[in-house]
Parts: sequence; C-alpha cells; structure tokens
Amino acid sequence: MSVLLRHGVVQCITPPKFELILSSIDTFVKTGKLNKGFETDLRDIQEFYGANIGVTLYEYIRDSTLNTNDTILTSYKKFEKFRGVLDLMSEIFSHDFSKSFVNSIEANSTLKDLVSSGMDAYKRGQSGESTEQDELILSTLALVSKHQTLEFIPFEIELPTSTFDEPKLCDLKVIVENLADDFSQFVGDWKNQMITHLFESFGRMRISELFDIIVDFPESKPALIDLKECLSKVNLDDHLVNTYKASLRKRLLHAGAQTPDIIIQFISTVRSFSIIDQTGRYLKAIMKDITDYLMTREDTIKCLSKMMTEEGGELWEELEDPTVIRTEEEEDEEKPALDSSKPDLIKIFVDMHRGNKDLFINEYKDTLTEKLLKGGFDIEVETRTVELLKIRFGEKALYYCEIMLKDISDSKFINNNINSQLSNEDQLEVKIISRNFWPSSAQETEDVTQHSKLHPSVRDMMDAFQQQYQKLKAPRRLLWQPCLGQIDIIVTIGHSEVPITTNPIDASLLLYFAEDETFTVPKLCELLNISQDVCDKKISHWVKMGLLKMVDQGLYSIQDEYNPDQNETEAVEDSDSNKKGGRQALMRQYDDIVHGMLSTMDSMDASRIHQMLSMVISDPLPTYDYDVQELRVYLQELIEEGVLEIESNMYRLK
Amino acid sequence: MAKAKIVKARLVANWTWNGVNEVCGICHVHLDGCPPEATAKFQTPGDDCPVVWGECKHAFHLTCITKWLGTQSDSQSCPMCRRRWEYSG
Ligand SMILES: [Zn+2]
Ligand SMILES: [Zn+2]
Repeated sequence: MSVLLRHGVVQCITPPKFELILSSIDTFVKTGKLNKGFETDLRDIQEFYGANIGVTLYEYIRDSTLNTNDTILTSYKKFEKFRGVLDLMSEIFSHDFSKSFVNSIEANSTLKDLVSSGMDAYKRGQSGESTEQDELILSTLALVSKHQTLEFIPFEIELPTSTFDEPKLCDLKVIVENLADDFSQFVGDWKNQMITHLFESFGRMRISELFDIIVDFPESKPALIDLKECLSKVNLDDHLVNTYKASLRKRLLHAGAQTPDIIIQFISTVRSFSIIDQTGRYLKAIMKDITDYLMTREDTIKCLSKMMTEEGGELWEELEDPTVIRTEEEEDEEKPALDSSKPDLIKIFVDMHRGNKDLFINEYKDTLTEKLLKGGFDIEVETRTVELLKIRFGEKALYYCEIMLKDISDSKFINNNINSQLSNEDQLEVKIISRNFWPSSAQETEDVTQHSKLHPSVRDMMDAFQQQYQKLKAPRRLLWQPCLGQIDIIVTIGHSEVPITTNPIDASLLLYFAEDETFTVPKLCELLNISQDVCDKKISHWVKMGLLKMVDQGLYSIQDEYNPDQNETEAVEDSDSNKKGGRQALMRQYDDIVHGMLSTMDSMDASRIHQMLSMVISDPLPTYDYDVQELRVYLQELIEEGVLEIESNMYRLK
Repeated sequence: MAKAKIVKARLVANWTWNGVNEVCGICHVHLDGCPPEATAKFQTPGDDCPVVWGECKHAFHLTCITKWLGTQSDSQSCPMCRRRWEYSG
C-alpha cells in the first residue's frame, strides 16, 4: 500500500474497507478470483469516494501490480461481469493510460470481440430478448467507446452493396443514431463520432463501387446522392479520384473496350460527377485520363458525331437541350465550362479536340451524305438535326450541310416537274447535287465514272431526264455519277424472277447478259468501258451470287436456273482460289467486321480476333463457328491481299 | 431465255453551268460554287449565284463581273482578255 499513500486522496483519509477492496483487486489480478463480499465492499467504497475512486484505483493498478497493459485488459474482461466494477472501469479508462493500452494488438482484438458481442446484444435488445448479461456487455461497450478512438471499433452494420437504385444512407443513419442514443446514457458524444464513422465507411464502400454505379447511371442516382452526403461530411476526395482512376485503367481504358463504351462511360461519369460535386474538381482530376485515351482511337470522332446526330443517340439530348445555346458569335471564352449544374458535354468533347468543331461537322457531313443519297426525298429528320447543329455550332459551320439539304429538296421539286413531263411512272429518280459542297464520298473518281457507258435502256432514261433538265434550268446541265446511284432490276433466270438492287454499272452488266447469250471479259470491258480488273471482280461477284456462270474458258452467260446456295460453293471452287473450300470462303463475310475491329484496336493476335468475332457477330450474318486455325488461314488471305499485315503475331491494318 | 427489266433507277448527278472544271477569273472560286460575297450571306449555289458569259467566251459569276465592271471607269473590258466586255446571248 505504500504506493497509494503518495497520492492526495488516499493520504488524507483512510476509508472503510478500502484496503479490503484493494487486496481483492490485487488477488483478482493475480489469481483471476474475487474475494467473497467484494461487491458489497465495492459499493460501500463508491458511496464514500464518489468519482475519485477510479483515479485511485487506476493509479494503484498502474504503479503496483500490473506491468503490462495486456494484463490490465485481461483483468478488465473478467471484471465486466460486475456492474459496479464497470463504473470503476469507466473512470479508469478516462485516464491517459487507456491511450497507451489501446496501442497493443491484443487490446485491439479484445475490443473487437467486445464490440461484436455488443452488437449481438444490441440486436437481441431490439427484438426484446435482451438479458442482463447483454446489458452488461452494452454498458461495457459504451464505456470503452467513450474513451477509445472509433478506429478500434469495427462498425459492423451490414452495408447494402451492388444495388444503387434507392437511397440507403438515410436508413443507416437512423440505425446508427438509435444505436448511439441507446448508448448515450453511458456516453455523451459517441453519436457524432459514430455518424462520422458511418459516413466514412459508407462513402468508402460506394467509392469502391463507383465504376458500377456510373455504369448504372441514371438508375443509380440515389447511390450518388448518398455518396454526395458522405463526401460533404468526410474528406474522401483523393481517395475517390485515385480509386476511380484505377478502375478506369483496369476496366475501361484498354484495347478490349469498344470506343462507344468508353464514350458512354465518360458521358455517364460527367453526369454522375455533376451530381456528387458541382465544382467540377473530381471531373477535372480524372478527365485527362479518359480524353487522352480517347484521342488515341481513330474512331472517336466518328462515334461522337454519330451519338450526337442520331435521334436517340447518347449525345442527342445534349444537342436538343434548349438551355445550352452557344453559337459561335455568342461564345465567351472566359466563361468557365463547368460552373453550371448541367455539364455541357458537347463542349467537353469539342474542347477535347482543341475546339475544332469542324471535325464533328465533317464527320456528320459524311453521315448526312449517306443518308441523303441512299434515302428518299423525305429529309425532315435531317433538316431538324442540321437546325439543332446550327444552334449549337453556328450557321457558318453548317453552311455546306444546308446546301446539301437544299439540293435534295430542290431535286424533289425538279423530279416532280420532269417526271410529269416524261410520264415514265416515276421510274427514274435523280438526286441533283451541287459539286464542291458535298464531301468527296459524293464525288466519283474520274477514271470509273466519266467514261463508263451504261446499258442503252438506262442511258435512254438519263438522256430524257437530261433534256428536260436543260429545258428547265438552262444553261445548266447534269454530269451523271453512275457509281453512286442504285438501280432495282428484276432478272428472270429459268423459272425464277430475281430482284437485284445494284449500282448502274453492275445493273448494266446484268442487262447486257439478259439480252445476249454469252460475253467475254474484253467484250464487256468495251461495252461498259471499264478495266479488265474491275470487270473480273464484277463477273466473279455475280457468279458467286448465282446469276452468272462460266460456259467456257473466259466466256460467261446467265445461269440456267437460279439456285444461289449451290452456286455459291461451286463458284468459289471455280474461281482462282481453288484450294479453299466454301466454308473458308464464307469467312469473307467478316471482312468488314475484322476491318472495323482492327481500326479500333490497332493490333490484335489471332486468338483475340477469334474471341471477339465469337462475341460480336450479329443477326444478318451466320453464327461464327470457325476455329482459330481457320481464322488464321482467312487472315493470311487478307495479308496476301495487302489488307492486313502481321508483326510478331499481331495483325493490323496495312 | 433470260430477260431483265428496270423497276426503278435512283441516280445521282452533279449540276453544272458549263461542265468545265473552271474557276471564276475574278474570285477564283469554282464557277459552280458561290463567290465570297454570296458565301458570307449563306447563299446557295445555282439560282443564287448565276454565271454569265462574255462574247469573248470568258465566264464569271454575275456578282463578280458586275462588281468588276463597276470599278472600271470608262472602258468596260473583260478582266481576263481585256477585250471589250459584251454579255453573250
Ligand atoms: Zn466569281
Ligand atoms: Zn475575256
């Protein structure tokens, strides 16, 4: 007892039973057993000393019997059976010594045990089955909580994962607040700590799921709003940025991802981030990773332009949005891009291309060309799109597109006029376009076009139309573009009527064959004014399609009967690639897909191409059921044709 | 005996003033295009930007030659060949 005597309280008063208690504790610490009458003695002492008893006991324990913190903890666990002792421990723990003891590993794990049994006890309490033992555990927990930092308390409420379509944080807050309220009889400020802890652990969880949350956007809005609340309470900014950047690298910014998927995730990221943070700082931190990567892909502009200009495309609503009207004239460079709550995605994408909006317009011009030349005279949709683009990019940028639209509407008028003169039952429809204003895809290359001759029945129609046009629009006249048009013909072969839609030159070729028995390639070259190369390709195409056959070396005629499936195989075996079977030849159907894939991915090995073909083959094509060896043969064919090249087993476009 | 018939032909043609791949000697824009003044006003080629010929056979955008002749104080001459400018038929 010499130690105790050094301290104030004890020095002044020698309390009743105090020595008894101390020796009881002493015995307890050494043997784990309590003396008889301990509880009664303890109560008496408490009455006498009040709050100070804790200090006294703490100092006693520290200075005399116990040398390591771990032992204190062991003792403490044994004490927890006794409510009175708990009160004492409460005071004990209020001293510095608790800080040193929680540093030991064993203390940590013991506390965790304590907390988890506390949680069980709490749950039993909620369902009305709590026992006295439970209450003790809870009190203990409360006491410990009061003085320990919460990092030591595993907060184990089951957190809802992977469903993002409804708010969860609100319910959790209620649970935690109730929990904290229940403990508040023992401790005061636990609630705030507990709630902060909830925000942190819940926020971290949602951040770890952020990629999937953004994939689910906009259904995942509730999860984002929850996350926003967490972010406003605890600082997880760096954690969020680093985690999301890592998941982007792992899950998106690699060769296996399709460009549209990357763009869609980027769009969702921008929209999601505008919910969790209006200052734009997260977006700013991650944006460069995505945009730099997108800029390495050749098809980015094409995808973006498509998404923007196709009704229902991912960026269409941005284009349609009347709140974002920034024509070139009004554009103010000093306006920060991200200050509004609604991010301007189109601006982001244009900025990504160093503000070069013409890239987008040029891409759209190609799309528009295809739509206008292939479609009819109904251009309502395209007109609306061009109007929207004008609002966004200014009239000047869309000047050429406007002229393209006007060409089509003028053509409609001229066609109506001329066809009423010709009474040819609208058999001919001509799109009259202004050269210099359409992209090069609408301009034929000189060598095939100007000099090729078409079948007289086609030429007659053209001449009649030309004549009327010159009457109507003198001194203007027409320069025909025979490669761009399309002619529907019906070829009667044996007992079948075969409808064919093809370009004017191929249509002419078939019309010639339908008139005469046989043709040689040189004769056809002369008639159509095409090179032998071009002619060979055309013939072998129609042989493959089952319309033509070779009757003798270099001599062709129309088939006797139309039987496309059978002829396809024969044709291939007839042709110069004798060594390849029909099955192998059918792989040529994948030319476009392979080309598209390699223009996106730069280079791939055979097994990767194989894997992708197995996935992407879609409806109009038969199911891809080749093995890798067959694929290699096919790819080799493409290499021999100069389409592909191979370097260290990686195929790429030449 | 095989036969074939045309159901419908959808063809494409360029229109042209004279079919020659020629630029206007004044503004150096293609004759089938729009001179700069017309472009600035977003006018369309064709009806908005007619082309005229002189007796000398030189062709210009109407707006271009009109402007040119306006700057010539006394002699109305073709900017290409300096012959006296007369509108052709
Ligand atoms: Zn001119
Ligand atoms: Zn002249």
